[in-house]
Order: sequence, then structure tokens, then C-alpha cells
Amino acid sequence: MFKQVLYTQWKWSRAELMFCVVGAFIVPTLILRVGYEVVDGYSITNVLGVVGFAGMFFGSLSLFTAFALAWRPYIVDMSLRHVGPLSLPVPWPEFVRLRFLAGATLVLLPTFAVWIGGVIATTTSAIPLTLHAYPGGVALRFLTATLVAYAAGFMLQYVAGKHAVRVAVISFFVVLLLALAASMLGFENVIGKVWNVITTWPGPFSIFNARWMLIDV
Amino acid sequence: MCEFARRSRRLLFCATLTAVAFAPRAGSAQSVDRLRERLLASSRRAEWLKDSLAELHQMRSHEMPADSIMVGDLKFRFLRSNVGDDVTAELRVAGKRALAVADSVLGDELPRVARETPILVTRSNSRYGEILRVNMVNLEIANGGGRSTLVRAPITQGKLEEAILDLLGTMATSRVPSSVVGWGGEWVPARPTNPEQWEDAAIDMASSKASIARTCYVGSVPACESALALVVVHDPLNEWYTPDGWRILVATWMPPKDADSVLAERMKCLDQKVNASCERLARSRSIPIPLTFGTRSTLMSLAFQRGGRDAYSRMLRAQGTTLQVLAATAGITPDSLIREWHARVIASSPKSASPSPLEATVFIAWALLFGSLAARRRP
Repeated sequence: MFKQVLYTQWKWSRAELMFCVVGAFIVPTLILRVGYEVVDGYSITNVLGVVGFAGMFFGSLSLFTAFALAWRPYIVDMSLRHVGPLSLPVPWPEFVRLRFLAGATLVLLPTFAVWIGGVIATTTSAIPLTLHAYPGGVALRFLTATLVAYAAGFMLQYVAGKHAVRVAVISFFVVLLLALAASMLGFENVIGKVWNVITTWPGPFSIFNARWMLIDV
Repeated sequence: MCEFARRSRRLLFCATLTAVAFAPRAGSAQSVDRLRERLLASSRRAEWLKDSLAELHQMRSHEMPADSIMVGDLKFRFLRSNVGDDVTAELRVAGKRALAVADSVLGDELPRVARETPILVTRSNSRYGEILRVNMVNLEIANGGGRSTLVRAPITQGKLEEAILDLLGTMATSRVPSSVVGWGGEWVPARPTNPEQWEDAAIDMASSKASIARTCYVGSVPACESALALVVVHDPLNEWYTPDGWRILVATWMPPKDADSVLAERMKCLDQKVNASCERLARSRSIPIPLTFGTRSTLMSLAFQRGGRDAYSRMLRAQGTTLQVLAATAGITPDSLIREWHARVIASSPKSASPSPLEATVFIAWALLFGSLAARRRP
């Protein structure tokens, strides 16, 4: 059963996955190459700036991969009014679990590409004496971050259904407005505190709040 | 008194605005005589400003009722009607906590440092338009030449504690040998260095433009002493930087647009990599220190930590160079202190981007939790 769900998930998301894999494979090397051409490599600050740019790419790629994997199968199912999943001889929670696991398994593909891409990028660039290369570390962070974001996106998609995007956008703006109003009125910023809780350790999104550095101190 | 102070402040503000309005624009040609006149006039104005400020601080300390509250040996002076009971209560707790933290650094000398001068507290609640208001508390060392720290809304115990610790650090500098105070950036740390500050020091050392800092990174004690400016440096440009570093120094500075010869020299340095041009340009400006004052403060902090409760007292009694004073504070030899500091900085280097096993477990648990919640709603 899992094999079939995995195959369906792969079939429906392969375009996005291939896009992520190719990006993860090529873009870090490109960023380092172009960056090293533009800046003076003797300055460590410049080098870290270039690597930080590659780190931003990994963070964005992680979010993109996660939401693409979470969103695509549900949208396809929804367009068919969920007839397929509901006709299967397994209860709905079991089916959702299989879907979730299938998506999580597919995250391994771009992770592998991030690792290989990182190894190529760092071995083909000159690394200053005081810095070290961490392609494996970045790949592990990518895997963990993508899994968390995928799970959050998956939950939003399956709980809010077809209104998921609307719910996400409206919640974002409501939170933003409340935070702004609270700070303007001089109240203690509760939303800021909540934001801190979810984006600092051990909050779920604190995984994004770190140095995604292929080359670092 | 208050009215007079307000007027004086307004006058000073007007004088500053006038000076700014009539000041020559940067880059316009001026004769040396004209520049000298301007410089003399500016220094005169600076003296007047300094006198007026001293006068204002003097007045403010007299305005406040004596010792509004005492927390341990710390004295806070304020007008109860201005500060309010809520901030007074927060100040009591914050003061107590700040003293406990500072005790671990300043040890037996803390009561004397805290007693030295009262802290003036003023609260302002400025309104901007109809709805926007900003609540602030200013803590200022009485007779401290305006050395103060501002706490913005929301006023919390944590923020007040940090502000009090900052002021205690400033107060602790008054009896420390002046060479050490100057070396440490006019401040003595009154709280132990936290892991983030050590990590910043590691990043600072590894990413410095100065080659001496990189040599220090690989473990040379003399290089670390030089990078921390603890030994006499005769030619900072040559002793701290290599020609590659000169180029970086030149690259970080943009000369005025009308300085054609300088611009041409800069192009020679950056594009054609002519070392002589880089050196000339780099020498025309002040040479940046290899490691920041923040990094230096980690060494001072380590000396206090290593030296125990008597460390600060020993620093006050110590004589000699900055390095000798720090070593006496720590109670170990200068080389051991530098070696220990180096090991601590290197150990604080940021970890690889990889999440730790604990982090990975927690994040996977989050992912599983989200995943299990998804199955709760059936379409």
C-alpha cells in the first residue's frame, strides 16, 4: 500500500522535486563561483557573506520543497473530490499517515542533492585557513528543516482543506496587524513572545533560525 | 530649576542646529587657515557644551530627593510621582538581581563600587500623535558626565537588570588603572561573559582582516598578544596586516568624489593590486584594531572569572602593562592567561550547521506531531 502511495506522490510531485534536486545540485556551486569572482576572497567577511547567500538559498529551497510536497497531492485529490482515497480499503487517518510518510520519504532526494551539491561547491572553492566546509551538516539541517516545514504545511493543508492558502495568508496579516497595534500602544508584545517561542529552541521553526553555512568558522 | 534646565537644553539644541546648518559641506575646498579657525571655534563650542552638560547633571542630582530607595548598596534617586510604584517595585527586584550577578565578577569590591554614586532614575511617557506613546526609563550615574542607559517599553525587570549591570560596569572603571580602562573600551564587564559573546569573539578572530588575528587563531601566543594590542606595536600596518589586508582596508573606504588623485591611487591598489598604493592609502587613515573591544572584554572577563572573588581587588592594586594587570587579576602568568583565552575562544566557534542529536530528535518529534494532527479532519 505504502509503495503505491509513494509512487503516486512521486508521479504527482516529480516536476517540483526535479526542480529542487537540480537547484540543490547546481546553485550552491554557482553562488560560490560568482561570489568569489565578485568579492575579494582574502576578506573572510566577504567569503562568509557569499556563503550566507548560499545559506539563504538552502533555507528557501527547504521551504519550497516542503510546501510543494505538502500541497501538490492534496490539490490533485481535491480536484477529484477525494474519491480515490475515500474508496481505498483503509480508513482516512491511515491513508493520511501513508501520504505523510510518502512525502517525508521523498524529502531524501533533494537532501541527497544538497549534500552532493555542497561537496562539489566546497571542493572546487578555495577555503581560507580559519574556515571549514560543512556540506554534510547543511544537508542534515536541510533534511530536518524540510521535514518540519513539510509536516506543518501538510497539517495546514489537511486541516484547512481548500482554504489552506487563505487561512495562512489571513492569519499572517492578522498577526502582523495585532503585533503592530500592540507595539504602537506600548503594550507588552505578546505576539512577539509567541513568535519567539516558535522560532527559538526548542520551538519547531528554530531549525530555520541558524547558520546555514556551507563554509564557516 | 527645572525650567532653567529645560531652557538650557533648548538653547543647546538651537546652537547645535545652527552649527549644523552653517557648517561647510564635506568635500568643499577650504584653506588651512579657515580650517584652523573652524577647528578652534568647534573646540570652544565643545568646551561650552561640556560645561553646560556638567551644570545640568549637577542640577538634576540636586533636584532628586536623596536616596529614594536603597537596594543593597545601590542607591536609586528619583521622584516618586514621576517613576511610579510599578517601576519602583521592578527596580527593587532588578537591583537585587543585578547585584547578585555583579557579585560573581566584582566580588568583595562590589559594595564599594555600588556605594560610589547614586543612580538617577527618570521616567518619560512621550506621546506621538493620538495613539502612539513611548514609555521609557532613563538610568543615569549621578555626576557621571551624562553616562546613562535608556530602557524602552515594555519596561521589564530583565531590561532594568541589564541597564543596572551596564552602569555598574561603568562605575567599576573609575578606580581601574587607566591603561586597562582605555584598552577595554572604557568599560569593565560587570556580568560574566555569555556563550554568545564567546562565539562572537571566535567569529571576530576567524574573520578579522588582520593577518595577526589569523596567526593567533592557529595558536601563536605572541600573535594573540599583538592582536589584542597587549604588546607595544611600532608599525600596526606592517605588524598586523599583510598587503592583502591593506587592499581590504582600502576597499572598505570610499574617498570623496572630488579627490581625483586619491581615487586614481585607490583604483591602482584595488584593480592593479599595486602594494605601494595600498600602503600609502592605508597609512593615510587610522589602522583598525585586529580584534574588537567586545573580544577584548572576553579576556578581561576570563581574568575576573579565573581570579575568583579577589580578582577585581587585585586589578585595582596591580601595576605594569595591561597584560601584567590582567594576569595579576587572573592570578596566573600572562602566557597561561592568553593560552586559556585562546582555547576558550576556539572552543566557542559556532558548531557545524548540522543539528545536534537532541535537536534532531526534538524536530522530528515536532514533525510527527504535526503529521498526526493532519489526520484528524476527514473531507
